[in-house]
Amino acid sequence: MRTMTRIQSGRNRQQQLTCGIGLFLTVFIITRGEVFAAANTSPTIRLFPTTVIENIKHTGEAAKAMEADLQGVIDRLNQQEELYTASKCEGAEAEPGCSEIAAQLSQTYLEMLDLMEARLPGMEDSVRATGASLEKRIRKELGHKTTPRGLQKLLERTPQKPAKAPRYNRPSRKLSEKFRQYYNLVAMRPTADSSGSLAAVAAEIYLDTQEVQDLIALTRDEISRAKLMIDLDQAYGIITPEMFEMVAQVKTILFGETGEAGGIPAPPPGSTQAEYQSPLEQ
Amino acid sequence: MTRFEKKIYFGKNLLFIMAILSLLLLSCENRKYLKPACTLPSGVNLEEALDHSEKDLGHLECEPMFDDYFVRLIDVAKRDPDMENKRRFSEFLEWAHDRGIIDKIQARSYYNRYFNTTFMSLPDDYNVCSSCTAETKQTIENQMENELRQKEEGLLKACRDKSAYYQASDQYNSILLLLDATCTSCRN
Repeated sequence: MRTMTRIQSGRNRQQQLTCGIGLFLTVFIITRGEVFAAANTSPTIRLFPTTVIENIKHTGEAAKAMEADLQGVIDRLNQQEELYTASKCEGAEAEPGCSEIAAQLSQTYLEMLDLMEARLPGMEDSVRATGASLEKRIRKELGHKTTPRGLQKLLERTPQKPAKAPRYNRPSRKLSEKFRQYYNLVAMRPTADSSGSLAAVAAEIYLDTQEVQDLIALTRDEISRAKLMIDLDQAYGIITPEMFEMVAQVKTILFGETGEAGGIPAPPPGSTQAEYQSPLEQ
Repeated sequence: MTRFEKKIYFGKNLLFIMAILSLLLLSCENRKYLKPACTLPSGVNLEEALDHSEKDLGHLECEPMFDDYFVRLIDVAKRDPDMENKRRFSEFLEWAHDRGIIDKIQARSYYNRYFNTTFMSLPDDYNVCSSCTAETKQTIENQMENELRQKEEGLLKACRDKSAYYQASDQYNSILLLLDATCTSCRN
């Protein structure tokens, strides 16, 4: 019996020892892994915490819903505007056909204003929240922690991209499409090497939100003014250039400007000779 | 020694001293003609232009003209473009530093402004928010624009290193974007 107990306790000790060695090895491997990972990665700049990513996603969805609402009305406005111009109604507003088109146009215009008035506050809040959270991160991570030379060092970590135009130009496209692409870009797991490009993406989104906020504020002012005019019955049934400007402004916010060059030409192929490395290089 | 002999001996010594003095004076006069002309290099051969510049800059009188020599050498290199020109300029700048004509910081600045993608106009002392006053930001942007032109001269025209130049140009655009966004966030 004693022998059995001894054998059992010996086995237990052996198991404990094996378990201990196993545990030690696991901890050792994990620690080593972390040390190597820390050695291989340079300090990461955290510009996109989960809240920012969620804000971007929400803005994209809000923009998409607004676009869907407005698309039909804007299409109708475009058709009526074309009909008005094709019928040579400018200067002949008193003609019965023309006054009818003008009245329809004004109705549709009013419909658009109502829709926008209902949708804009939500959209504005969403854009503002995205802008504010990004502003905080950019100020902290790039403004306070980085020097101007550091900004270039950050960019140098990213793989080489094709050259752009002499001065940067932010492309104009559908607002929802923009934010959908932004979301796809930042929602992917960031690596140390991509922090440079993520910084550029953050800068682009942030500047976009600033621009969109300004445009939304302008549009809301315009809506109030236009509705006041309609209330006063001064402009209802009369086509004013402001109406067309307003529609153009709405299109700029939601659908981006058209006619801009989309693609960026790739640079001519560089020399294939081995790169000379000067000791003076920084 | 008789008195007459003494006079002759004294006369000889006097003549000898006068000869030496006149020789010294003449040699001083000749220095005018030996003074280096400090002529800026020209032609289409960079190696020759570099040799010429090193010879001239070896004289104290030409040292203050180092910047003129460098700019002229870039002009020559543009007519003799080669990837090897990076090495040639680097060696020339190291030589100038070794001779005490320029300091290490100047040597680095000359090289990187013309032959590397790093923008030396970007300050590295304080954080970005400190460089966000309208005046400072404008100065940085202007200096970067000038530097991009220098990189165009050095990388693209003197070395035909198109990929490096386009990389610098791409980074220039991205830096302006980052500066704009960061400074906007710092101001708010």
